[in-house]
Amino acid sequence: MFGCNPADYDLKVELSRCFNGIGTVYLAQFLPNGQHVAVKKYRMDKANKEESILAREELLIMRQFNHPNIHTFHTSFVYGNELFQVAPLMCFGSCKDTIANCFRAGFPEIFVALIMRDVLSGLEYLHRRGYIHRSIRASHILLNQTKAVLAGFRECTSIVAHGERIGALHQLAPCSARSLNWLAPEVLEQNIIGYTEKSDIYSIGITCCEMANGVEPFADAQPTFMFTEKLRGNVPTLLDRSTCPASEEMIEIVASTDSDSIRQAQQIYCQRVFSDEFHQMTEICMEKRPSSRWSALQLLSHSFFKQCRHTSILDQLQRFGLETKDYTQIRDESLGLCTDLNEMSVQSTDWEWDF
Amino acid sequence: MGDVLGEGSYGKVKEVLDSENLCRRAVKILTKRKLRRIPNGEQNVQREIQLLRNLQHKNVVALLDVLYNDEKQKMYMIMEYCVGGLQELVDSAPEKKLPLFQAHRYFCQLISGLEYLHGCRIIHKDIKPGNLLLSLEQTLKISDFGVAEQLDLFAKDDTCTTGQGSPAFQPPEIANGHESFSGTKVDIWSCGVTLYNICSGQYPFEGDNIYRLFENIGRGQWEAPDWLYKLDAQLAGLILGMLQADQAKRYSIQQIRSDPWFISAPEEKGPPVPIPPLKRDVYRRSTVLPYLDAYHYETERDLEEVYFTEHDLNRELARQAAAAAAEIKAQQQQQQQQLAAPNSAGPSTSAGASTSNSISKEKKSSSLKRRAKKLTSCISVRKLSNCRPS
Repeated sequence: MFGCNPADYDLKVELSRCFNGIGTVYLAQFLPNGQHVAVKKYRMDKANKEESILAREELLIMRQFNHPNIHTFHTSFVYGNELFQVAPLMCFGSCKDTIANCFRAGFPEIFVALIMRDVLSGLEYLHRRGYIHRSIRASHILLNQTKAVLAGFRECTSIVAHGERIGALHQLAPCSARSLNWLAPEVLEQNIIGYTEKSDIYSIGITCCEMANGVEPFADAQPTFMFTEKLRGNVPTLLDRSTCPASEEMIEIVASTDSDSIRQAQQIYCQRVFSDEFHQMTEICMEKRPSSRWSALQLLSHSFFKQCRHTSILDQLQRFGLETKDYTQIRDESLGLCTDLNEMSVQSTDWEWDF
Repeated sequence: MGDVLGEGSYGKVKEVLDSENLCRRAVKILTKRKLRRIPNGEQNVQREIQLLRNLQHKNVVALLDVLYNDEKQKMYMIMEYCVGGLQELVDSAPEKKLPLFQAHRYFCQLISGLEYLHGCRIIHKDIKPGNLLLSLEQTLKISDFGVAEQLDLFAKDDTCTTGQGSPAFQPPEIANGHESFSGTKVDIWSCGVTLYNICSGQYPFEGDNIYRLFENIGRGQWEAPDWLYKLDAQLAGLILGMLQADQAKRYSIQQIRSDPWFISAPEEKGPPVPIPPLKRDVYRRSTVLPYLDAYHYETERDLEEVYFTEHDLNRELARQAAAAAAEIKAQQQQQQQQLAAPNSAGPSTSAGASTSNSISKEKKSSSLKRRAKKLTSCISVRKLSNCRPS
């Protein structure tokens, strides 16, 4: 259905850059049928050998999957020294963007529940197929009107080799430097025990905190400090009335020294209450011992997800007044004319679509 | 930087943790002072770096970076981290030998790494269990290119003139002091000795001193002992092929690859020999961790001066929580009394009381939490919420 001719795609707006500046995501229109898509363009001349292998592996791995909550792509092709990946448009971008644009203090609990239910069913599918994702975080969860999908498969790997399940993995993923804050302690430890798919569950817990609090856990900490904290079993918490800390500690959490924004955030945190189920579920996810964490399948039956029964992402988006724009109107005129990326409109730069 | 992993003539090898991406690494620390004492020391190191920089194979240890510290006159070679050596593993095994299936697994990897090296015109010259490292995934890595030689691009064949490896692993041509010999075949011989060693725990050639040893090696054609045939006839055949005194008759890598024992997969009998614990740590945790702990938490402890145990802290927390609960209870009773008191003033005052109540709670919990965070890490802040009615 989608062709391999780059001239058929009308690139409209740059949405984000990713993969060390090699990849750029555009909002585009497929001219033959007028459908809007996301086009990710890799500048392969900028990539070194390892990076080009990673880009290829990512596409190959994504081809293996077929699940409503796993991000797919329509087609991919090479043109000149660029690799194009045409994917369905996820109109709200990543959860991280949505938080930054609409929910500064984090998603309401019902949103987290709805999104996590989708993510977990996608993750359950991955684990059943013998894959570990290894970089679950809010910027790798994409959102559109009806569902959330799991993306970002560059660090995804199979735990099946020669038809057998490998006991455990030991090494960090090749470019995991940006995902370190979400990784489980046993992944960071890199010892003989190694890690299994349960490490993804830990990342789910951290992501829950990230989405509910609106800030990346351990954002300001040194990587080594984050590592020792995790080894000691210290984990981030969901911030609500029962856990909201004093303003001195808020500086650490909000990662800003602006006293107004701290007070504001603190006020919001102090006013809201998350359900006990939510607290309990994130704690189960972030258990230090991998064996005491629940599997994705078990988590799906957790009572936290009961609240999803009579509602959907669409309902909730309408309730909070989030609507999609008319894409035909959007056009970044500078895109076709100037190649100087610094002159791009400011609005397009605060998107992060690192999938 | 963590503990010392090993020590060579050139310097120490320590474990380090990359502070950016938290990868475990090994670093070889070379001091100028020590290098000068060794003949050709600096040249050898420069050659080793040159060689390693261009190599990339999963069975060859990777050199990631080289750093220099002019002030300390030191050089740091950052390598990928390996959890232990094959020698260590063999030494820890019962009867100092590995089960055949495990030896087979390592030998296949050794041959694949060696094939790559020879393809890059590199003669290692010092293949032995001590120079074969194991990664966390039990992948074998050929290391220590201290005496390795890269053949000239225009060399007619693989003729070498110097041999500096470990005596027990040297072929007859070196033991007999030949002027020149085939380089690749030297490595094959060493591989043969290595295989013999890890399968049997013995050496094919022994001697009280290096002269006796070389005499034994150079005496003539080696014969595989009967017990080796009993252990596995195909294995004995392969070792015999690799330990041919005549270079021309000795197996090439292609011949090894097509050898029946190499192709076969020996039956797995029992569990493999695990990597031995380092300083009683079975899991080989990063030795950097204690240093990190000291770095991040020691200063706080110094400030506090008093050392609390976790037990003390729990008791203290429980006491304070109980006090807070009592206070809240008292306030609630007060509120209830107020509520009971006549109508219109009731709700507003109670709302005021509850807000002030929550503020005081906030303060208390935050002060508790700050304490808790500084001292130990095991106490979850969530526990405090249990004692609160809201």
